Amino acid sequence: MRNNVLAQLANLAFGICIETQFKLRHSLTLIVFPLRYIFFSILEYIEGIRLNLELIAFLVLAAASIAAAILMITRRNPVTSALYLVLNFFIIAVLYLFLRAQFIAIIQITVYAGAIMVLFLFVIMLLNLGEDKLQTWKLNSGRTIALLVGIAFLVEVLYTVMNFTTNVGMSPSSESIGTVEAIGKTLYTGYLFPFEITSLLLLTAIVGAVFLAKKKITEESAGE
Amino acid sequence: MIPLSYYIGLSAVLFTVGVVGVLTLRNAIVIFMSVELMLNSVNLSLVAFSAYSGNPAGQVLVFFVIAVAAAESAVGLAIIIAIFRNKLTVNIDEVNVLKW
Repeated sequence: MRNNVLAQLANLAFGICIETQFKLRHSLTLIVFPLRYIFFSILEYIEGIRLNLELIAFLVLAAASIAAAILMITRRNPVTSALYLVLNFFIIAVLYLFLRAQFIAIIQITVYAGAIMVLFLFVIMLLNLGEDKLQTWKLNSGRTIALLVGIAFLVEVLYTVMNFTTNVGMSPSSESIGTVEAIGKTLYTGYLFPFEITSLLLLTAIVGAVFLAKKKITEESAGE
Repeated sequence: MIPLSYYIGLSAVLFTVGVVGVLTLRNAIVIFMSVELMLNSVNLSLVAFSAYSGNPAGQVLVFFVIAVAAAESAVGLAIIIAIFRNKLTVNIDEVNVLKW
């Protein structure tokens, strides 16, 4: 009971935080707030899941990550897209922490949001695409087909997920399997050979990237 | 407690956004970002299954996926730079020398 009261308070707090940001632009928030209350009530009724803080935080984060992903593919400027993708990576790192996967969460932030996205931003700024080279988003026949294929794919996958009903909770050992110790033990015993192959793959990638991206030395430029 | 199907559903939605991005966008760099988004959504479902079944092998697999994604993005971006040197564009509609 106390948990439920806390959850309602948290819902209210989230609502106020989100809505004060939008209130200046939209009066739509007057509709959104009751809608969210109704949504949570329906969820509680159908799924039989008691609202708790964790679930509310999950739903808010899930909505934010989907919003960041959609914003990423609709922005015209590649730099903006890259920053929305970084936001999405951070939200997914928080979801990894919900799943008690500490090591993967840190790897996600350092390798993905850090190394890979900085590489992307470097390339975007190196190529220095002018205003005329920015992508334009016009709905032509090919894109309509692509959107329909995407929607069909989403419906198909979600239908499969809906039929996938397991009431298994999180495994009791989930607290201990996400630690560096547990992952290291598994990695260096059962998966030692793939791990070594990964080093070879990274070496090949380094050599390949340098070879592909370097300027071709022609006879004239070599003579200069 | 969050049901496992919520994580799988979120993963499916993010994967679909990535698929639509790959199919509709024309800028090669943003297409690459969409591929990274798809890899990430699959990672999320792997970690969810791993945590709900209590088996660390799923998280080890995510570790490998991240390593492969790092290699893939380095080589892919090098290819994009090479294409840009030759064509002065990253719009994939204008890069059609391999068209039949």
